[in-house]
Amino acid sequence: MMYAPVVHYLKQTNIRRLRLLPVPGRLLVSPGQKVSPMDSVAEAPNPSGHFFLDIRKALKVDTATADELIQRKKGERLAKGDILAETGGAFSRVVRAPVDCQVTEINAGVMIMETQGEPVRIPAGLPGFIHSLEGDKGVTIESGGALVQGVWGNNRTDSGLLVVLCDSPDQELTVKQLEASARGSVAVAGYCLSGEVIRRAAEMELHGLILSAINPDLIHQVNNLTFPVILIEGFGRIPMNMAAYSIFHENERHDAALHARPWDHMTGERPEVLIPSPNQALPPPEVDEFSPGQIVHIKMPPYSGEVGTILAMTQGLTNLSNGLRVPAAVLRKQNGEQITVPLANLELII
Amino acid sequence: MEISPSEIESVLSVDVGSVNTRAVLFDLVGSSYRMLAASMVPSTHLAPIRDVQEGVISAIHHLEEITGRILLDANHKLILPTSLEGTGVDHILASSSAGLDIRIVTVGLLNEYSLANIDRLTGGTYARIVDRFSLNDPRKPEDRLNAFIQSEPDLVIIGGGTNHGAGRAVLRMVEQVHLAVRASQSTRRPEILYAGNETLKEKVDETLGKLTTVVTAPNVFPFSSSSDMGPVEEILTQVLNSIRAGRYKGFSELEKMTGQPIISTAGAESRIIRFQSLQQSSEKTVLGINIGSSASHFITANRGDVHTSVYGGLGVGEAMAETVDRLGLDAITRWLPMDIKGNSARDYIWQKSLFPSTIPMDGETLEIEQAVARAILAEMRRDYLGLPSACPDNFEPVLVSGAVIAQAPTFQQSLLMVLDGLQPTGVTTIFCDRYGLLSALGSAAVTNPTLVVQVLESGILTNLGTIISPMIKAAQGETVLHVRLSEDNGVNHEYDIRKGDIVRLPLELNKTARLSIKPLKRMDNFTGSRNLKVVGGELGLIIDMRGRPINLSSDPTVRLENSIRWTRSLQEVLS
Repeated sequence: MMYAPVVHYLKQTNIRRLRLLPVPGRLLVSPGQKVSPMDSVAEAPNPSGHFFLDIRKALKVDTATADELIQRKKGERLAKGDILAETGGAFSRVVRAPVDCQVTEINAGVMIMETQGEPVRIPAGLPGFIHSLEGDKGVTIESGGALVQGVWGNNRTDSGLLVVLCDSPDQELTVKQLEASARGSVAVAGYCLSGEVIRRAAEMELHGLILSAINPDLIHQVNNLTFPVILIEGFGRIPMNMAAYSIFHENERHDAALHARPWDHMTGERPEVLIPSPNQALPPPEVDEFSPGQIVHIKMPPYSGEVGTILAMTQGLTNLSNGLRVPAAVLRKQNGEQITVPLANLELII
Repeated sequence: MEISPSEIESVLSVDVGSVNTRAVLFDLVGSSYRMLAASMVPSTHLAPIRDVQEGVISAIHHLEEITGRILLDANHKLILPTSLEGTGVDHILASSSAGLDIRIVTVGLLNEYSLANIDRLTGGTYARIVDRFSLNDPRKPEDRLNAFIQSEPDLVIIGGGTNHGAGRAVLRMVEQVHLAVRASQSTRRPEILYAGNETLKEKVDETLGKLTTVVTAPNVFPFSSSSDMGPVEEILTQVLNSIRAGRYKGFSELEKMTGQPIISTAGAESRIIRFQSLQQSSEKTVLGINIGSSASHFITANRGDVHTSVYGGLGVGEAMAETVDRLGLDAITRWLPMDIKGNSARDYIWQKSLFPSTIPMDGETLEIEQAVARAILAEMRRDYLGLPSACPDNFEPVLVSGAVIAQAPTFQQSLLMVLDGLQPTGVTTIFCDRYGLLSALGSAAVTNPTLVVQVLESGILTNLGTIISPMIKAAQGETVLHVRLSEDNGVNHEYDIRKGDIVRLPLELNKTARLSIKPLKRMDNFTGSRNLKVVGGELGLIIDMRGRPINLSSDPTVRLENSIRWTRSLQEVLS
């Protein structure tokens, strides 16, 4: 069986999504609870670093005496200024906690303290209901609506009103398009090649940006944006495929939630845009096989971002123009042209 | 039912790669082992399947289609051993290069000794060294502790000290590891592999065993040879496999099916490279190279002493973006023979990293991938030359695996990638592993060495040709070499070769001849005889007079002209 990778561009579906902490922590929601994309569903402590306090040196005593003078136990949480050890007597020397911290270890007169950063909180990432709790690690959220999956995200989450900035999916995003109608919205556009456009987008108080593709040199800049950015196609001058673009177009002025998590090939979780709606639909399959009649998305040049229908699976191996021999399929593109594409370069649109 | 090695006739070898899973079936044909068939399917350890075994079963099923032989039962389980009806196989072996995400911290007494030796030990694994700690670490204790915790290792390898030598320094390092492991989140504590002073094993286990799993191995002494590393390597393989098994469904089931640890692809190939080195003159270093999707490797062996380096993050699939980050776009675009704009190459490289299993569809994207392969080869060679034991000009033969080179559409493309990337001098023979056999044979080497010898002797590796690369300083176009090729049937051919040319001399595949080389100017670094016995390859006999390093013009037009000229030269045999 030749498994076919699947990408979801769905006008109406129901989905369940796991939201898991990197380490066990505390759940902040209950089963059945309604959540918004920005709601935190779980949190975990986030140690920000460790420092050593040498009580022997600070109190000018030997190791055994230092161990005796230490007044704290391993695991104790301390506030800045709390006394850790003191010699006592008329001229008592005192060692205090320099910051809020926790005692990690006490060993041979040395205290090892852990400082805590802001807890790690995971957002729901989409509007929906808590379907189930996953122990002390996270939750499963159920939601429904139009779903568009991407290939790259800058690890941010937000939601807002969907505004399509381009007239066609093969346009390059310009500053002019942004300035015309993007402010405060989740903006949808073609590809972006210019750092100036990203700089301007950062000033527009966007709640999200959905692009077909970007120049890879802009990755660092996009990673530093405070709002989510999702790429539907990838990198370079690639138009957005019509299947995804038409969903955005049909849902213009609707609320859209962006969970711009990076694509995790291990779990299969991808960056996603969900345009919520109360209608019910079956959850989509995550795996299938290639067969004639299916709609497919082409992932690589020279047809990056194009959509076609499988007319036939070629028998055996097919010779490509560059001499490689691969399993392939004959497709009819949306413009009617017939092409042969390696199966490895296709994903099923479901 | 157990069967003894002498009873094993058919062997199935499986290699689970980060993108593809390969299966190769060997069996006795007459009195000799032969490869019967090879198959390749997408690997399935990642989403959406997330089960290593699915890909393995699919690859075996493909073998069934090719050979017509039944290998799987009705429940899609491998039939082991061969039944009386002739279905199934006697033995299955496995190797893998998947699972590059294992993070290792190494701890030793001194960078130059114990840490260097642990580096050598881990050099052949598909895991990443994320930090190193030693007594001469200049960082403050709290910085070391924080670095350890932030590096989030899956495994800590501790080495150092000689057996019965002073142990205090080693125990001090172990104490520091103990502290760091205690301070790590309890759900994220790394496993420990201790391979230091053996008299301290119990103390190390006592100190660290309450916190995490501790595995002990024989001491990795400073100055150990590769053969001394064998037992430690085996234990490291088992530890890494157990970590992988926890991550990838089906991995431990595959291991159980084989009845022995799944070895790394590079480790399997290194066995063959070592074997080859024992068959020939000590002056020559056998080289094995493999350009993969998420990692590449460079294996050298001289008189049985093997050096294996796996380069995670250098590859032509998932690792392509990291490759361009590490080597720079120029290191790649300089090898682009076509008029491809740098931006197109950069965009393609990043797109390929998103979709590592995709295939270049046209000439331009194929050229980009081949340019990346050249850059990776050059980088691995550069790294190798930094080793004290490096022998830069004596690679013989070179065994090439990995689809981008070994399965390139033409032999000419395979050859030019290797020559451009490695730039060997002297006399070199290049073999391509077009069926992914080296790892399969390496897996079988311990249990069935006869199979390895007989399959290699069957000429299953593709001999691209013998390449003569003399170093002669001269102006481009100047005639610098006169050669005479004397075929066994008495026919002689004489040629004048110009500086800057690469040419094919007519010598049929596997035919032998004598080649007499007469330099017309001073010839440097040519250690071999000037009257050589040569064997023809798929491309005959090649004289590469392009010089070393190959002078790539900064003018794209000239570069393009040269590239076209070199490619054409290899398409035609001199008459």
